[in-house]
Amino acid sequence: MAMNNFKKISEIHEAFDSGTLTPIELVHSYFVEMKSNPLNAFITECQDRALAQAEQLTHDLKSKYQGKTPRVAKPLFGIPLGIKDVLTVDGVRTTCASKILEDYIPPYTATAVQKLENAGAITLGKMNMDEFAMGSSNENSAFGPVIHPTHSDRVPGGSSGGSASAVAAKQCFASLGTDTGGSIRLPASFCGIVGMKPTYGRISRYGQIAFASSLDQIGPMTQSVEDAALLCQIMSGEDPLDSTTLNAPVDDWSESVRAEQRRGVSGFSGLRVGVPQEYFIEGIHPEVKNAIDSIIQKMKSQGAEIVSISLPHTQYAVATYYVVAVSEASSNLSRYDGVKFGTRSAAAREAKSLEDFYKKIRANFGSEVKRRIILGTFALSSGYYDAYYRRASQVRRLMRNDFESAFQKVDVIVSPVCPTTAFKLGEKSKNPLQMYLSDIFTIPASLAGLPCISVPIAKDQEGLPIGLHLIAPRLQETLLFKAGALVELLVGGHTS
Amino acid sequence: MTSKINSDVIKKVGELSRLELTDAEIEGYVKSIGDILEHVEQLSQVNLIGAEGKEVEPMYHGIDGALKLRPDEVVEFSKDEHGQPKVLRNAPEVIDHGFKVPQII
Repeated sequence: MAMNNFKKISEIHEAFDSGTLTPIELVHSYFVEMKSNPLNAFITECQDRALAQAEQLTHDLKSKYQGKTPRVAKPLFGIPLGIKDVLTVDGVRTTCASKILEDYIPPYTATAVQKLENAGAITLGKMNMDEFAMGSSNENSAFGPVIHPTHSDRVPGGSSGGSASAVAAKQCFASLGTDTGGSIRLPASFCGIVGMKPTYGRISRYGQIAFASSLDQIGPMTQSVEDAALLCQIMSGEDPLDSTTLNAPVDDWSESVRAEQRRGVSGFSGLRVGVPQEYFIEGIHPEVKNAIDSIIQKMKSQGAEIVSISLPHTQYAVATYYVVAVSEASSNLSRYDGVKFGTRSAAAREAKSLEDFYKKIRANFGSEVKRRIILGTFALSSGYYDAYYRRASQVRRLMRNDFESAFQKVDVIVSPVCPTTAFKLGEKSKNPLQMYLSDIFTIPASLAGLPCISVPIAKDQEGLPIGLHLIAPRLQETLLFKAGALVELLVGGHTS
Repeated sequence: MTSKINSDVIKKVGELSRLELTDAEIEGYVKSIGDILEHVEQLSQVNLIGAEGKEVEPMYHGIDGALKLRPDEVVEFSKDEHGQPKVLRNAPEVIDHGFKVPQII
């Protein structure tokens, strides 16, 4: 087995235990792959920092732990991760894929990253993304687009495109993404890996550079549902540094997944699976539709109860989201005033007025970011606030009510992740509305704050991956991961 | 509402957002933001009166109830290896342990 070819954390730990692999050898192998296959997935490679971490762990494994991986104390011992460049790491450049933060060295580490590193994970680098996480194709990065891992003419999806492409291409073992309207699940689906967004408030956003604060969540991007569950449970929990984190019990979700794996596909027996009639719209690619229909049939034949449900406000999802998200963005991005951090150009230094100074500083925003700031400022402006922001927030409530009614009848809801497989580079970049419509299936669960996951289930004729989207009720991650694990068993447990 | 988007509106909102826009950018945003707002227009069709005749309560956040508060206490800055506050690490310009800004007022 090539050294970077591991699909599960347990396989890596077995290799450590058997003495055939050390953390330092493992880290080296990922850097070799990274350099041999230019996907532009990394904005910053943390080679020195990662090797120092790996050296320490290699030393500890031999001396402190007598060659036995400390799975309980450090469940991510020696696991090399990619961190989306929207999450801060103390002393490591964090750009958010923007020119405005080109040289930003954060003074603190995001809680989620800190928890993973405390559990033994190694940070290989900071992953490319759409600027400020605004995009669905990863073409909006100031550091250039990310390339799809298997089809070089395609996008990897966005905004966590680097995180997805690198995991699929074995340039890191797993990664962190962030999801505001689908930014974990869409690229996971396009690249053929598992991507999960937890319930809003599960994982601290401390150290996550804000886009739309009522929607933003961090989540894992992995090669298996079991590892997504493990990363998610390690990162979850109340954090005094983020007042929106929930004080809710965090179960051993990875153990729940293993229990399902032991039980096998008979676990589908009695599971009530909701299929929203509104999600099978015109415009959905026939191959995507066939793949979803086929997996639903397989679930049924294993004993799942398939229930047709209605989420009547789905058609308003994209409109609602693009008012809410841009309004929050225009407010969040007002902090880029060039005073305490950020790039200060010569033109800004010579500004003649405060307004001119701000304008020169903010000239470093990319075109999509500017579009969203303008749209958000417009939607919040006097005279339009009620018609746009308030109205969209009311429709958002109706969408959440739709889910609450549906979950009276079903345990989980399934749908496609995206109407299509990975589209071509440049195909939608000139038409922002078309790009936004790629998120139609992922947005509703974001607006409602629900946990959801993308699991790869098939490939189209061109070999491009197709993902299944599963949504569970609020705080029901146990159920979500179980259902995800069952789907994985049904398709043979293979990613990418 | 879409007709409300023209180059003057984009220029004005650009001013409010402290964004300097070129003529080409303004022209592009008139088209793309116009398209997006046309799509958003469909929200006006949604019935916002609930079963009891009351207007639907807006959902402004992802969590229910009030946000937790914490005491407003002074804490020490975390410092780097030279004893300097880390928060100054990214200051475009520094003067006497403070942020330096151009004289523009």
